[in-house]
Amino acid sequence: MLATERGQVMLAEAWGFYDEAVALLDKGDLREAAGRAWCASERATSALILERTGRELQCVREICVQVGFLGQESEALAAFRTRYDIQEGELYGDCFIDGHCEPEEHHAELIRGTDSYIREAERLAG
Amino acid sequence: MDNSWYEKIASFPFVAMREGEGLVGQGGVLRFAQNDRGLAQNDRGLLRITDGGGSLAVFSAGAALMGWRGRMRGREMMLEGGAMPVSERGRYLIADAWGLQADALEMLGQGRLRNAAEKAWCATKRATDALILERTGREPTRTSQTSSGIKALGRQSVACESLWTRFRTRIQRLHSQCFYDGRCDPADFITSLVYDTADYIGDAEAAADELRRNC
Repeated sequence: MLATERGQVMLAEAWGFYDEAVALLDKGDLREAAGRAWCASERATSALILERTGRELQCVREICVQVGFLGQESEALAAFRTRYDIQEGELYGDCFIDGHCEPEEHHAELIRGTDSYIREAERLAG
Repeated sequence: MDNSWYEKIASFPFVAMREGEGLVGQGGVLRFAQNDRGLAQNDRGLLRITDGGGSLAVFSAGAALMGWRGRMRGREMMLEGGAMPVSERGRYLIADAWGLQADALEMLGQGRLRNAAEKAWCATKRATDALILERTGREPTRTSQTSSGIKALGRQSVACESLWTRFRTRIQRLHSQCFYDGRCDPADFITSLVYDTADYIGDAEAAADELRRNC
Protein backbone atom coordinates (compact mmCIF):
# COMPACT_ATOMS: atom_id res chain seq x y z
CA MET A 1 0.00 0.00 0.00
CA LEU A 2 1.39 3.36 -1.02
CA ALA A 3 1.46 6.18 1.50
CA THR A 4 -0.28 8.85 -0.57
CA GLU A 5 -3.76 8.74 -2.02
CA ARG A 6 -2.43 10.11 -5.32
CA GLY A 7 0.17 7.35 -5.44
CA GLN A 8 -2.53 4.73 -4.96
CA VAL A 9 -4.57 6.23 -7.81
CA MET A 10 -1.55 6.13 -10.11
CA LEU A 11 -0.85 2.54 -9.21
CA ALA A 12 -4.47 1.59 -9.88
CA GLU A 13 -4.14 3.26 -13.30
CA ALA A 14 -1.04 1.20 -13.91
CA TRP A 15 -2.92 -2.03 -13.22
CA GLY A 16 -5.75 -0.89 -15.48
CA PHE A 17 -3.35 -0.29 -18.35
CA TYR A 18 -1.73 -3.65 -17.67
CA ASP A 19 -5.07 -5.47 -17.94
CA GLU A 20 -5.73 -3.69 -21.25
CA ALA A 21 -2.28 -4.69 -22.49
CA VAL A 22 -2.83 -8.36 -21.74
CA ALA A 23 -6.27 -8.27 -23.36
CA LEU A 24 -4.80 -6.71 -26.52
CA LEU A 25 -2.01 -9.25 -26.51
CA ASP A 26 -4.51 -12.08 -26.31
CA LYS A 27 -6.26 -10.59 -29.36
CA GLY A 28 -2.94 -10.61 -31.24
CA ASP A 29 -2.45 -6.82 -31.29
CA LEU A 30 1.14 -6.82 -30.12
CA ARG A 31 1.95 -3.21 -30.98
CA GLU A 32 -1.04 -1.73 -29.15
CA ALA A 33 -0.40 -4.07 -26.25
CA ALA A 34 3.18 -2.78 -26.04
CA GLY A 35 1.85 0.79 -25.91
CA ARG A 36 -0.49 -0.06 -23.04
CA ALA A 37 2.21 -1.94 -21.16
CA TRP A 38 4.44 1.11 -21.47
CA CYS A 39 1.64 3.31 -20.09
CA ALA A 40 1.36 0.89 -17.17
CA SER A 41 5.12 1.10 -16.60
CA GLU A 42 5.11 4.89 -16.76
CA ARG A 43 2.25 5.18 -14.25
CA ALA A 44 3.91 2.78 -11.83
CA THR A 45 7.22 4.61 -12.18
CA SER A 46 5.54 7.96 -11.59
CA ALA A 47 3.93 6.57 -8.43
CA LEU A 48 7.33 5.37 -7.22
CA ILE A 49 8.86 8.80 -7.85
CA LEU A 50 5.97 10.55 -6.09
CA GLU A 51 6.33 8.37 -3.02
CA ARG A 52 10.09 8.75 -2.80
CA THR A 53 10.49 12.41 -3.75
CA GLY A 54 7.10 14.02 -3.15
CA ARG A 55 7.00 15.24 -6.74
CA GLU A 56 4.62 14.19 -9.49
CA LEU A 57 6.41 14.52 -12.81
CA GLN A 58 4.45 15.23 -15.99
CA CYS A 59 7.08 14.66 -18.67
CA VAL A 60 8.55 11.28 -19.63
CA ARG A 61 12.00 12.81 -20.09
CA GLU A 62 11.86 14.10 -16.51
CA ILE A 63 10.73 10.70 -15.28
CA CYS A 64 13.62 9.06 -17.10
CA VAL A 65 16.16 11.42 -15.54
CA GLN A 66 14.64 11.00 -12.07
CA VAL A 67 14.85 7.22 -12.39
CA GLY A 68 18.53 7.77 -13.15
CA PHE A 69 18.95 9.63 -9.88
CA LEU A 70 16.99 7.04 -7.91
CA GLY A 71 19.27 4.36 -9.35
CA GLN A 72 22.14 5.94 -7.42
CA GLU A 73 20.48 5.18 -4.07
CA SER A 74 20.61 1.38 -3.90
CA GLU A 75 21.31 -1.75 -5.90
CA ALA A 76 17.61 -2.52 -6.04
CA LEU A 77 16.87 0.90 -7.51
CA ALA A 78 19.77 0.54 -9.95
CA ALA A 79 18.24 -2.74 -11.14
CA PHE A 80 14.90 -0.99 -11.43
CA ARG A 81 16.54 1.72 -13.55
CA THR A 82 17.77 -0.97 -15.95
CA ARG A 83 14.26 -2.40 -16.15
CA TYR A 84 12.83 1.06 -16.79
CA ASP A 85 15.22 1.56 -19.69
CA ILE A 86 14.11 -1.75 -21.17
CA GLN A 87 10.41 -1.00 -20.74
CA GLU A 88 10.72 2.43 -22.36
CA GLY A 89 13.13 1.44 -25.08
CA GLU A 90 11.62 -1.87 -26.10
CA LEU A 91 7.89 -1.45 -25.50
CA TYR A 92 7.52 2.23 -26.31
CA GLY A 93 10.42 3.15 -28.60
CA ASP A 94 11.03 0.05 -30.65
CA CYS A 95 7.64 -1.66 -30.71
CA PHE A 96 4.93 0.98 -30.27
CA ILE A 97 6.57 3.99 -31.94
CA ASP A 98 8.79 2.37 -34.56
CA GLY A 99 6.74 -0.78 -35.11
CA HIS A 100 9.77 -3.03 -34.61
CA CYS A 101 8.21 -5.72 -32.42
CA GLU A 102 10.51 -8.60 -33.32
CA PRO A 103 11.22 -11.10 -31.90
CA GLU A 104 7.49 -11.19 -31.12
CA GLU A 105 7.88 -13.62 -28.22
CA HIS A 106 10.41 -11.25 -26.64
CA HIS A 107 7.94 -8.36 -26.63
CA ALA A 108 5.08 -10.59 -25.52
CA GLU A 109 7.18 -11.65 -22.52
CA LEU A 110 7.97 -8.04 -21.69
CA ILE A 111 4.28 -7.12 -21.88
CA ARG A 112 3.16 -9.98 -19.64
CA GLY A 113 6.13 -9.39 -17.33
CA THR A 114 5.07 -5.79 -16.77
CA ASP A 115 3.05 -7.03 -13.78
CA SER A 116 6.29 -7.78 -11.93
CA TYR A 117 7.59 -4.32 -12.92
CA ILE A 118 4.54 -2.69 -11.34
CA ARG A 119 4.90 -4.81 -8.20
CA GLU A 120 8.58 -3.91 -7.94
CA ALA A 121 7.74 -0.21 -8.28
CA GLU A 122 5.21 -0.56 -5.48
CA ARG A 123 7.68 -2.44 -3.28
CA LEU A 124 10.40 0.17 -3.79
CA ALA A 125 7.93 2.99 -3.15
CA GLY A 126 7.03 1.62 0.26
CA MET B 1 58.45 2.45 -36.87
CA ASP B 2 58.25 1.24 -40.45
CA ASN B 3 55.03 2.75 -41.72
CA SER B 4 55.02 0.71 -44.89
CA TRP B 5 54.62 -2.38 -42.76
CA TYR B 6 52.41 -1.09 -39.96
CA GLU B 7 48.97 0.37 -40.17
CA LYS B 8 47.42 2.54 -37.49
CA ILE B 9 44.12 1.09 -36.35
CA ALA B 10 43.17 2.59 -33.02
CA SER B 11 44.11 4.68 -30.06
CA PHE B 12 43.85 3.83 -26.39
CA PRO B 13 44.54 5.53 -23.12
CA PHE B 14 47.63 3.84 -21.77
CA VAL B 15 49.76 3.11 -18.79
CA ALA B 16 53.52 3.16 -19.20
CA MET B 17 55.68 0.50 -17.53
CA ARG B 18 59.41 -0.08 -17.38
CA GLU B 19 60.73 -3.60 -16.94
CA GLY B 20 61.61 -4.24 -13.31
CA GLU B 21 60.01 -0.99 -12.13
CA GLY B 22 56.35 -1.48 -12.81
CA LEU B 23 54.09 1.47 -13.43
CA VAL B 24 55.98 4.68 -14.17
CA GLY B 25 53.25 6.84 -15.70
CA GLN B 26 49.84 6.91 -17.26
CA GLY B 27 47.46 9.02 -19.27
CA GLY B 28 47.25 10.45 -22.75
CA VAL B 29 46.41 8.47 -25.82
CA LEU B 30 48.73 5.93 -27.35
CA ARG B 31 48.50 5.58 -31.10
CA PHE B 32 49.57 2.12 -32.04
CA ALA B 33 49.86 -0.04 -35.06
CA GLN B 34 48.75 -3.43 -36.22
CA ASN B 35 50.28 -5.62 -38.86
CA ASP B 36 47.41 -7.09 -40.86
CA ARG B 37 49.63 -9.60 -42.64
CA GLY B 38 50.90 -10.82 -39.30
CA LEU B 39 47.37 -11.24 -38.06
CA ALA B 40 46.44 -13.21 -41.13
CA GLN B 41 49.50 -15.44 -40.86
CA ASN B 42 49.05 -16.12 -37.16
CA ASP B 43 45.29 -16.46 -37.09
CA ARG B 44 44.94 -15.25 -33.49
CA GLY B 45 47.11 -12.30 -34.31
CA LEU B 46 50.01 -10.41 -32.86
CA LEU B 47 50.20 -6.76 -32.11
CA ARG B 48 53.46 -4.87 -31.79
CA ILE B 49 53.52 -1.77 -29.68
CA THR B 50 56.38 0.67 -29.38
CA ASP B 51 56.57 3.86 -27.43
CA GLY B 52 57.39 6.05 -30.41
CA GLY B 53 61.11 6.30 -29.79
CA GLY B 54 61.30 6.84 -26.04
CA SER B 55 62.77 4.40 -23.58
CA LEU B 56 59.56 3.22 -21.97
CA ALA B 57 57.80 0.03 -22.73
CA VAL B 58 54.16 0.83 -23.17
CA PHE B 59 51.21 -1.26 -22.22
CA SER B 60 47.83 -0.41 -23.65
CA ALA B 61 44.97 -0.44 -21.17
CA GLY B 62 42.56 -0.94 -24.04
CA ALA B 63 44.46 -3.98 -25.23
CA ALA B 64 44.42 -5.44 -21.74
CA LEU B 65 40.67 -5.12 -21.73
CA MET B 66 40.59 -6.93 -25.04
CA GLY B 67 42.30 -9.88 -23.37
CA TRP B 68 45.77 -9.50 -24.88
CA ARG B 69 48.89 -10.48 -22.96
CA GLY B 70 52.11 -8.52 -23.29
CA ARG B 71 55.64 -9.92 -23.67
CA MET B 72 58.72 -7.73 -24.01
CA ARG B 73 61.14 -8.08 -26.91
CA GLY B 74 63.76 -5.37 -26.68
CA ARG B 75 61.92 -2.07 -26.83
CA GLU B 76 58.84 -3.66 -28.37
CA MET B 77 55.97 -5.33 -26.64
CA MET B 78 54.40 -8.26 -28.39
CA LEU B 79 50.75 -8.77 -27.49
CA GLU B 80 49.28 -12.21 -27.94
CA GLY B 81 46.15 -14.18 -27.43
CA GLY B 82 43.43 -11.53 -27.35
CA ALA B 83 39.99 -11.72 -28.81
CA MET B 84 39.69 -11.05 -32.50
CA PRO B 85 36.62 -11.25 -34.68
CA VAL B 86 37.19 -13.56 -37.63
CA SER B 87 36.34 -11.29 -40.54
CA GLU B 88 38.31 -8.30 -41.74
CA ARG B 89 35.18 -6.16 -41.51
CA GLY B 90 34.57 -7.34 -37.95
CA ARG B 91 38.11 -6.41 -36.98
CA TYR B 92 37.64 -2.99 -38.53
CA LEU B 93 34.41 -2.39 -36.62
CA ILE B 94 35.97 -3.41 -33.30
CA ALA B 95 39.01 -1.22 -33.92
CA ASP B 96 36.66 1.65 -34.76
CA ALA B 97 34.80 1.03 -31.49
CA TRP B 98 38.02 1.23 -29.50
CA GLY B 99 39.02 4.40 -31.31
CA LEU B 100 35.66 6.00 -30.53
CA GLN B 101 35.96 4.95 -26.90
CA ALA B 102 39.38 6.58 -26.72
CA ASP B 103 37.82 9.75 -28.13
CA ALA B 104 35.11 9.52 -25.46
CA LEU B 105 37.72 9.36 -22.71
CA GLU B 106 39.57 12.30 -24.22
CA MET B 107 36.36 14.31 -24.14
CA LEU B 108 35.72 13.29 -20.56
CA GLY B 109 39.16 14.62 -19.75
CA GLN B 110 38.13 17.93 -21.34
CA GLY B 111 34.94 18.05 -19.29
CA ARG B 112 32.71 17.54 -22.36
CA LEU B 113 30.37 14.93 -20.93
CA ARG B 114 27.63 15.28 -23.54
CA ASN B 115 30.03 14.67 -26.42
CA ALA B 116 31.77 11.90 -24.50
CA ALA B 117 28.41 10.20 -24.07
CA GLU B 118 27.73 10.23 -27.78
CA LYS B 119 31.20 8.90 -28.62
CA ALA B 120 30.72 6.09 -26.11
CA TRP B 121 27.33 5.33 -27.63
CA CYS B 122 28.89 5.19 -31.10
CA ALA B 123 31.53 2.82 -29.72
CA THR B 124 28.77 0.66 -28.25
CA LYS B 125 26.97 0.51 -31.58
CA ARG B 126 30.06 -0.32 -33.61
CA ALA B 127 31.07 -3.13 -31.23
CA THR B 128 27.53 -4.48 -31.30
CA ASP B 129 27.47 -4.34 -35.09
CA ALA B 130 30.70 -6.34 -35.17
CA LEU B 131 29.20 -8.96 -32.87
CA ILE B 132 26.04 -9.26 -34.96
CA LEU B 133 28.07 -9.44 -38.16
CA GLU B 134 30.21 -12.27 -36.83
CA ARG B 135 27.25 -14.21 -35.47
CA THR B 136 24.79 -13.74 -38.34
CA GLY B 137 26.89 -12.82 -41.36
CA ARG B 138 24.91 -9.60 -41.79
CA GLU B 139 26.09 -6.16 -40.70
CA PRO B 140 23.26 -3.95 -39.42
CA THR B 141 22.79 -0.79 -41.45
CA ARG B 142 20.34 0.95 -39.11
CA THR B 143 20.24 1.34 -35.36
CA SER B 144 16.91 -0.50 -35.27
CA GLN B 145 18.62 -3.50 -36.87
CA THR B 146 21.41 -3.34 -34.31
CA SER B 147 18.82 -3.19 -31.55
CA SER B 148 16.78 -6.13 -32.84
CA GLY B 149 19.97 -8.10 -33.55
CA ILE B 150 21.35 -7.80 -30.02
CA LYS B 151 17.87 -8.43 -28.65
CA ALA B 152 17.63 -11.71 -30.57
CA LEU B 153 21.12 -12.67 -29.43
CA GLY B 154 20.25 -11.76 -25.85
CA ARG B 155 17.59 -14.43 -25.83
CA GLN B 156 20.16 -17.16 -26.37
CA SER B 157 21.88 -17.09 -22.96
CA VAL B 158 22.27 -15.16 -19.72
CA ALA B 159 25.68 -13.87 -20.81
CA CYS B 160 24.25 -12.54 -24.06
CA GLU B 161 21.29 -11.08 -22.20
CA SER B 162 23.77 -9.00 -20.20
CA LEU B 163 25.06 -7.48 -23.43
CA TRP B 164 21.52 -6.68 -24.51
CA THR B 165 20.60 -4.96 -21.23
CA ARG B 166 23.82 -2.95 -21.28
CA PHE B 167 23.17 -1.98 -24.92
CA ARG B 168 19.68 -0.84 -23.93
CA THR B 169 21.03 1.23 -21.03
CA ARG B 170 23.53 2.94 -23.32
CA ILE B 171 21.11 3.83 -26.07
CA GLN B 172 18.74 5.25 -23.48
CA ARG B 173 21.13 7.07 -21.18
CA LEU B 174 24.09 8.02 -23.37
CA HIS B 175 22.40 8.59 -26.72
CA SER B 176 18.83 9.64 -26.03
CA GLN B 177 18.89 11.25 -22.60
CA CYS B 178 22.36 12.80 -22.50
CA PHE B 179 23.29 13.57 -26.10
CA TYR B 180 19.89 14.27 -27.67
CA ASP B 181 18.07 15.79 -24.72
CA GLY B 182 21.13 17.32 -23.10
CA ARG B 183 20.16 15.80 -19.75
CA CYS B 184 23.41 14.25 -18.56
CA ASP B 185 22.25 13.71 -14.98
CA PRO B 186 23.35 12.27 -12.69
CA ALA B 187 26.75 13.16 -14.10
CA ASP B 188 28.64 10.49 -12.16
CA PHE B 189 26.28 7.81 -13.51
CA ILE B 190 26.69 8.98 -17.11
CA THR B 191 30.44 9.23 -16.59
CA SER B 192 30.61 5.68 -15.25
CA LEU B 193 28.65 4.47 -18.28
CA VAL B 194 31.21 6.11 -20.55
CA TYR B 195 34.11 4.45 -18.73
CA ASP B 196 32.36 1.06 -18.56
CA THR B 197 31.78 1.07 -22.29
CA ALA B 198 35.30 -0.34 -22.53
CA ASP B 199 34.04 -3.46 -20.74
CA TYR B 200 31.10 -3.65 -23.13
CA ILE B 201 33.38 -3.49 -26.17
CA GLY B 202 35.66 -6.16 -24.72
CA ASP B 203 32.73 -8.46 -23.96
CA ALA B 204 31.16 -7.90 -27.38
CA GLU B 205 34.48 -8.65 -29.01
CA ALA B 206 34.93 -11.84 -27.03
CA ALA B 207 31.39 -12.88 -27.93
CA ALA B 208 32.20 -12.27 -31.59
CA ASP B 209 35.31 -14.44 -31.44
CA GLU B 210 34.49 -18.04 -32.25
CA LEU B 211 37.37 -19.30 -30.11
CA ARG B 212 36.58 -17.20 -27.04
CA ARG B 213 32.83 -17.08 -27.31
CA ASN B 214 31.35 -16.13 -23.95
CA CYS B 215 27.70 -16.20 -24.87
